[in-house]
Amino acid sequence: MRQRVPTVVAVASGGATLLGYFVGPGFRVHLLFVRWAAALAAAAFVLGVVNLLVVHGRRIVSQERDWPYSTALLFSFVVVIAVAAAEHQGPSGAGVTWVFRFVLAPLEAATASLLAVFLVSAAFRAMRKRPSLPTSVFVGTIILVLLAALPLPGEVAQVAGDVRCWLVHVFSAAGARGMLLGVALGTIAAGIRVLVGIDQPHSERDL
Amino acid sequence: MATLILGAFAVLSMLALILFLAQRIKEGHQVHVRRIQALDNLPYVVGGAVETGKRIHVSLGTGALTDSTTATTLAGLAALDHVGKQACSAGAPPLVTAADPLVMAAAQDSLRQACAHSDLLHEFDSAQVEMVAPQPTIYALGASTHMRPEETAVNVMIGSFGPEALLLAHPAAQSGITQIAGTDDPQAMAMLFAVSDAPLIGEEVYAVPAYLSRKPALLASLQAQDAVRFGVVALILVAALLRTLGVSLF
Repeated sequence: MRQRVPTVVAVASGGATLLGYFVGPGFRVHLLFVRWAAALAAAAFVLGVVNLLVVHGRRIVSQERDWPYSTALLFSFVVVIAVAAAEHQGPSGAGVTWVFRFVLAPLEAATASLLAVFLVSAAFRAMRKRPSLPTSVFVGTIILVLLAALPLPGEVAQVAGDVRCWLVHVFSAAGARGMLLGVALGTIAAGIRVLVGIDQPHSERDL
Repeated sequence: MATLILGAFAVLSMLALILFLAQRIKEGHQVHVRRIQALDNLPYVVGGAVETGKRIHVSLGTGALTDSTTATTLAGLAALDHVGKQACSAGAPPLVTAADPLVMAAAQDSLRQACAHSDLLHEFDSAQVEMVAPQPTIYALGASTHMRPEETAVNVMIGSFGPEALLLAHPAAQSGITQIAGTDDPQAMAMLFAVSDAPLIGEEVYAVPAYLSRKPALLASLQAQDAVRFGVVALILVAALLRTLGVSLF
């Protein structure tokens, strides 16, 4: 019973929501379920915040390594909440927008710019640790594409550009499309499994 | 209207195929599942980590349970079921990080059940599952603080990631932490291929629930995916051939 009730509720509401996309505009139950789901997802953020406070609070209390970072995190959290509360405009207030625009966004952008360096370093480590044909092709492709981006002289630049274009538009695009096909089929199959109750992420499972 | 009918037909056909194949498997038909190195290694690396007394970190990625990343997130949760069960039975529950509060709640439930399965419910601590941050880059940076070789032995990354996955996986690789990783994003896949000891390539990530649990219905779903994929590939090839010959279908 403990297993069946959540499964029946999930299958019924999932089935009704799916049905809503295939029948006429007279059937509106799915819109209600979608609204409930959005409200639940928003409420779940409160759980997330409580988890964040507990995890970092414990780190500070027990003086774990890096506890000063946890203090900085909780301090920033309180400041941003206080600014939002003082403005009465939620996340669209001028103060909160300023924090996002001039603190969070530049930090994220700066960190993301390290990705190219990390990738090259990781590729060479992979070549040392796991030398194989796929790894060699991977590293070779990275080198070719990076070389083609350099300001090479005359004819060489033309040839390198063509090779890069060929690699990106033929092999890379074909591979990515193949993967996306697999992703789409995987998504459909997982959705159906949950809809018919084969997969029960919402119930007590037989682990 | 035609698109809706086609969509409904696709969903119903897939459902019928899964149910048909599940019935065949229950009747005793053997299923051949291609070996996946990363998933074969999983019990050994988890066992090795437990023996060293170091932590196992499971990252469920930046996906959610309410959008197009649900399937990948469910694959991560299936891996967590497996890893959690093995690690909890040895009294060493894994550390789990997530970027979405609903995924966090599902992971806490999975870990609680894994501990209960081993009669070690007292070992369960909901703070073993951390919601780091909803922003992908911040999540990856926050989770990377756990990648210290003296604390963590294994990093399992199965879920939805973008290229920022490298911000988490690279420090782990530098520290010599064993990594098993799989995701749905082609760019992130390339990044993880470079740093993982055993990467899950392409849609192998969707085979995780079936491969680890070997339940008939999940194996049937895997078979159905493969069958439909072969059908779609055949259609693409036929369409390309016809187009080359100058025959236009649409």
